[in-house]
Amino acid sequence: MSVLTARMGAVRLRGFGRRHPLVRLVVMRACLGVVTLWLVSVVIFAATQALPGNAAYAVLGHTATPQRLQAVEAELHLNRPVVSQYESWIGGVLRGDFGSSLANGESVAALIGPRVVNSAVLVVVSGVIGTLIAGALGVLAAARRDSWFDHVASVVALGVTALPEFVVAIALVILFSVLVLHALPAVSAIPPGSEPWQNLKELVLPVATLAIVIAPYIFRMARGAMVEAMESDYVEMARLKGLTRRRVLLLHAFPNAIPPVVQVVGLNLLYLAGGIVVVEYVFNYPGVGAALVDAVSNRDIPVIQFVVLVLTAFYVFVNIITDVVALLASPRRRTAG
Amino acid sequence: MRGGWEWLGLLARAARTPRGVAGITLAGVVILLAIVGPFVAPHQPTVSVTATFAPPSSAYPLGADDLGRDVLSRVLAGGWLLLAVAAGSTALGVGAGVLVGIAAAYFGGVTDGVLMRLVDVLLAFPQLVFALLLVSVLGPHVWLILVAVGISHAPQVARVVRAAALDVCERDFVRAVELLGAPARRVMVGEVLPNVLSVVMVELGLRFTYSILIIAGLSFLGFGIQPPAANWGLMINENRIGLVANPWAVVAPVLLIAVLTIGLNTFTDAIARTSLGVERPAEQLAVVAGVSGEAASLGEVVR
Amino acid sequence: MRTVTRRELLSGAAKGGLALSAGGLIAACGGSSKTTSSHPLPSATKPRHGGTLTIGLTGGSSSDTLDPNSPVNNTDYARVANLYDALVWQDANARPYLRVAEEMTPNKDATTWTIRLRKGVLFHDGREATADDLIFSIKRVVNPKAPGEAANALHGIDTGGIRKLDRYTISVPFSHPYSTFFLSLANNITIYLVPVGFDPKRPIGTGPFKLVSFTPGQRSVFARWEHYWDQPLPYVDQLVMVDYSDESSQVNALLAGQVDCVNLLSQDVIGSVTSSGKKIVVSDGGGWNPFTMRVDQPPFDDVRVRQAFRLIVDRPKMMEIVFGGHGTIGNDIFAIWDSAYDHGIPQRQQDIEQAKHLLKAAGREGLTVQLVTADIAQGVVNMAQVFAQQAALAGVKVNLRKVTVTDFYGPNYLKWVFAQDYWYYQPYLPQVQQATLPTAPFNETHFDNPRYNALYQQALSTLDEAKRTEIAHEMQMIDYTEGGYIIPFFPPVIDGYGANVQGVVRSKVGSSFNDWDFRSMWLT
Repeated sequence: MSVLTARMGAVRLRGFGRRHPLVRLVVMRACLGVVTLWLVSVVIFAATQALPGNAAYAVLGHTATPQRLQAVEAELHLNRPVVSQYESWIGGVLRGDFGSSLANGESVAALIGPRVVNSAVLVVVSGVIGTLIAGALGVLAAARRDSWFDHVASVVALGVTALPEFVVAIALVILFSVLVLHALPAVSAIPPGSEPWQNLKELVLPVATLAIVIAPYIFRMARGAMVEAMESDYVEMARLKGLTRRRVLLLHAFPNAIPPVVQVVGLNLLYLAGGIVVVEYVFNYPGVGAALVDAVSNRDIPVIQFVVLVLTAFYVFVNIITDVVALLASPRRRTAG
Repeated sequence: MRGGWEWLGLLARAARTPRGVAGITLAGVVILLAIVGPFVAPHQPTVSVTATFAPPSSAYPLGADDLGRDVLSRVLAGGWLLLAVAAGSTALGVGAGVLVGIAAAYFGGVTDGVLMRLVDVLLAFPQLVFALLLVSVLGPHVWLILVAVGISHAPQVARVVRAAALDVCERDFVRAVELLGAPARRVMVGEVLPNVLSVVMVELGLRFTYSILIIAGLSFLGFGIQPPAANWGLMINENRIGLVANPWAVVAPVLLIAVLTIGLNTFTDAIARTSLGVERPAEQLAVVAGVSGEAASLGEVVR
Repeated sequence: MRTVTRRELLSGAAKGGLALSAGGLIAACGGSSKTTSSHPLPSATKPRHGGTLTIGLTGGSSSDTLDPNSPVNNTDYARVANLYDALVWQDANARPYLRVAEEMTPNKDATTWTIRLRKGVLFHDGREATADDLIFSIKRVVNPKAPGEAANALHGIDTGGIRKLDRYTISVPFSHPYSTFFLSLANNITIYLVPVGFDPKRPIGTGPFKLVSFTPGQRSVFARWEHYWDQPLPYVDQLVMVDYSDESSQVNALLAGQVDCVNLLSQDVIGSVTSSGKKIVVSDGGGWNPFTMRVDQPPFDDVRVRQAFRLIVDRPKMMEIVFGGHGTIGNDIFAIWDSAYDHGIPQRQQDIEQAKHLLKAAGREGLTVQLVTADIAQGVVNMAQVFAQQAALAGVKVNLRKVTVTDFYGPNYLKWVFAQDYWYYQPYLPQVQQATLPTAPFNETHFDNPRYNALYQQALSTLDEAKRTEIAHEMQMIDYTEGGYIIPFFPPVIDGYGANVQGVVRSKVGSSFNDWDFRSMWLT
């Protein structure tokens, strides 16, 4: 990481904030993150109030009669004024109590917690596998620029970006579960109470789908960043100094290519968190996306709020990390004059 | 540099590169098909004419769908609405993003801070939740989908445009025009905008592709354009169950969406390369701009 | 009506008021006899005990429940049908029969019913079910603070007047004659037997399976109740029910061997299921998916418009497109398997000319209407699309408005002017009480016909079955000529299962697997 330390050393600073721009960045973003979380919770709560019907209707479905509706609404405290409902909710959150699901009375944290873990495992594993494979392929393609490997890989990457997520999912199911091979389970219904890593076979197809979906972006970025790094003056210099190609590639070009790739990985993680819904739907995976769709349809406000908070916190966290990396590695802005 | 219709020149140059030609051809074919399709469809797209999931025959070259309607006719009729909504939401998102980005870059200071913080908050908003709730509250109306998807594009575009605009705002010619007493609006539209156009064009291309995929995904989940309208995204979901019986009902719309997005991606690449003259894929341009933009806002601290 | 004794039940010799079918009751008591149906599928083996039966079900969500007072979706009914026993149930021919009740007798004017429980029925905690439990179960259903779904079937009940006659017998008075009380209980929405002090968080019943674990929206596990009263049932040791989000994943799971049974498939997958070595059972269910027209709102307040709409539908064609030709053609009257159903009423066919003529006479040529539809049941949205196509032939423009299921059953439910719905099967008179009286809880057509209402009251006091059938026929004629329902057909119930599952029967009851009759199924 000689490149990075060199850049850090070149900065002149004064005062605590100036002495530790990194810390200031993290603190600023974290504070902003908390404000964001609060804002998001208010807006989503307001939106749920605008939904026609409420949890009582959802619970009773087609068996709803006015008397039963009233009974259920009273039971679920849905007839209290909106502001007081929000206040009691946020009061509970600050104490660590996220309330109970309106659909079945269970504690939200106990109900959705495991599903958050399930989704997190999916996102992280797909992210890691996708990044590693696609990143390696991208570096290779850059190293062997304009070779047949490069062209084929680029075309394939382009093709895959054009496919919607659910198409990839369905194609994988057809190939590996139902029509061609019967090696893998078509549906990844992880039994409640067991952890995802205890059901590795169920994870294969959903992870493969997500990894394939993000791989082309990472591939193209890795390749592009690597190419640019290889053409930079710094690397030219290293080459002129007579270093072997491999050393040049790995020790000089590669580290410079990392920051934009990290940015893209971050963006893709965020995308995964949002886009995971479709994969969970196709594979029946008990994750947070499916829980959210279900909660919206059930007007289950405490669950909706919880999932939204978790997702937002994840977004904020990933944004902070990628910004930190960006700051560490990007060139300083040219100043005027 | 003043540039009124410079962006046309940029497009023309991009269109002449091999990538540009390939991209335009692919995307153009599909767009043409989508526009002309409804007028040349051999049968009514919403009328059942034969057995459900009937295999291809001379009368129905792509077979029938889940309600026995002619797949070819539905495919021909099912593109224009999807494209129109995607185009609309892209225009909305990019337009809003450009506005915010340039304003933030030009005015700087407090305005910049406030606008960018707003953008950060919106970026942290789980877009899917927002779209789901909006659609649940107001119903799966076409205009609503357009607005929801458009809003979800705006923050990212704003970030990218702001980064590019910051560079431009520092340049001498802009300062010169300001000193001459030109009003802010004229400077932004007349001087800054033309010079960030290449970035804007790239964003337009990228966002259009994402719009199509998002709207298709929404239709897949049941929150998008509703039956009995013929619509490629909806068709993929409706006919999924009969994939074995008549694969064309699913494969045809998938292929069309794929060819369109490949074509658009390729053309967007061509624009990026033409405007920068370097070997960068389009997304990298956007990301690098975004990266340096963020670092730029902290550059003040570090200076 | 005289009491039907157990001996008569066993010998199938009972006739008269208790049974709808003159052909005799189906025995369903303890000992070695089991429910039989007229359409058993060939089973290769004799029943054997053991194994785990896994069922993949759609329709579940995080609002899944185990409370027998409030099953809402299919998965709820499946669980409730296996955790608990009802007093009365239906067999595969949609004939009501006594299950955990041994006897149900009305008095001379049908204002009081005497119910006697079987002896030796044990709850999952080992206690014997007695009259006290029955009284508790009934009171729980009609509890005004939290009424159960079956509260409607118990309308007019005088809970304060319930008397315990002996250890197993009670008498239940009503404030009005209620000759069809027994029939009203003959479906999924009924009195399930629960113990005194029942807690829905720790549910126990007398059903063939007891609860092991339950995660709403995902999975529930049940174990065989060794001391089930109807030995040798159940056969399997464990029952696992898994929730699926949609049919594709359900079918994939079946084909991949991850589940043994799946419910409510569409006709499109029959081919791929059977060609992979799995099996399909297509039942002529009595459940119905009507189009509903509000008779108190324009344009449907004019009976000519209603009749025109009924004539627009090409019933066989719609059934062909939506269900591949499976199902039973309907005649706009519900309860097709009830012996009181009048098969003599002429079958309506499509008649576009007459429809146009009627619309013109009503001044409604070139009418435009909005049809509200939702994915409330298999095939409903497709039926709407086909109806729109067929209506165009008569010059009627139908605009579809598809809403989410939650919105459909939200505050506008029962207020839509032109919409659809789905119903499980019930015998005719109980169905009337639920749907077509001004006092009905689900009167979506807002039907209120004075002659019809008077006939119903008369039927309630009529214990003689033949006379009651006559009354029913007259009411059905009113349904036929003035009603607000379009019932093009009774959809089929298509279920899938693996080759190792035995005991599957074709059933008329209108819900999967013969009303979730997993107790009668076994594995090879």
